[in-house]
Amino acid sequence: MSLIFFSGEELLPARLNALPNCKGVWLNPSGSSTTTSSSFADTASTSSVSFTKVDDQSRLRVDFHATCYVTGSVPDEVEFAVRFNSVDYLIAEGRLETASVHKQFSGVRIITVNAAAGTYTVQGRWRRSSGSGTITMDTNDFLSFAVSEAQE
Amino acid sequence: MPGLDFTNDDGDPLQAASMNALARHEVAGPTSASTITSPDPDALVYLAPGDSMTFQKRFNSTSLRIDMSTAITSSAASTLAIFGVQINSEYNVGQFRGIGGIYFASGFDAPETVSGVLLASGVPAATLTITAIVYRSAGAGTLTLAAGNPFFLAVREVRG
Repeated sequence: MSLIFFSGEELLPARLNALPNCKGVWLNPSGSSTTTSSSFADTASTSSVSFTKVDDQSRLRVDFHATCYVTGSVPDEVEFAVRFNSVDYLIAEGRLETASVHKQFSGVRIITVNAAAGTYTVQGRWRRSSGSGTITMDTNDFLSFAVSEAQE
Repeated sequence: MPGLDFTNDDGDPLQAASMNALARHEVAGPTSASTITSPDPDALVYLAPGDSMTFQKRFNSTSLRIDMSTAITSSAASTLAIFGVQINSEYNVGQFRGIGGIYFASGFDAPETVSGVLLASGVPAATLTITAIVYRSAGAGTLTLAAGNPFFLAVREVRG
């Protein structure tokens, strides 16, 4: 049975329409963290969120933003990812041309894997994908991301 | 829909399909150059005319998702710009909510991109005034949002 609003529109369950399931992380680090690894590693320790997926067949949408800089040798390249269900999904990358200059990196990704409904930890990740400098986030940097559930 | 609340068999509230669009609002970009030198987020440094919005939050149990992106310049080195929002006057004191920022290691003529996303919980159902703000958290550079620079701030009600 469909319910019809006065305007003639169909009434839909809010969880399918206006109110998507969404969790997020916002972080201004209290200290400095670095990476020189070519493998993905966790960003700062609080850069994860517990997310409850309500539908087996849904996808995840992740919106990601972070700033960082490099010290030492330049140029370098940095990649950011989110780890979901034991897999790293690349979401943003870029080049750091000048030492100590902070740059912004952003990206959006739809994770299409059909993971079963349940509660998952979504963790921010990063790596130095080229170069030999030290990729750094400190108290002048920011990291935020939002995870939401999207219909297939 | 005043006076009527429909739910389905799962107890989910039902809403008109157009609420999906109505649940999102955007702030207009700057129409003239704004310069920022205030070090105090409570000073409420407004970005430009049209930098605030009213937003109808429908449920107490939901959160606000706020996405922001823009570009800004600094005239001097070692200057940190922080963007965020304040939600209603009753949440202003100590409740500045940061969304993103950029640290200028040196002064630049070219704009630097700033973007971020914030999930704000604990905000009750009400007609809210959401004001975009920016302040100079550190340094002595003059921060400038030039006329015509992109500025995007979107608010949406979400579960979680």
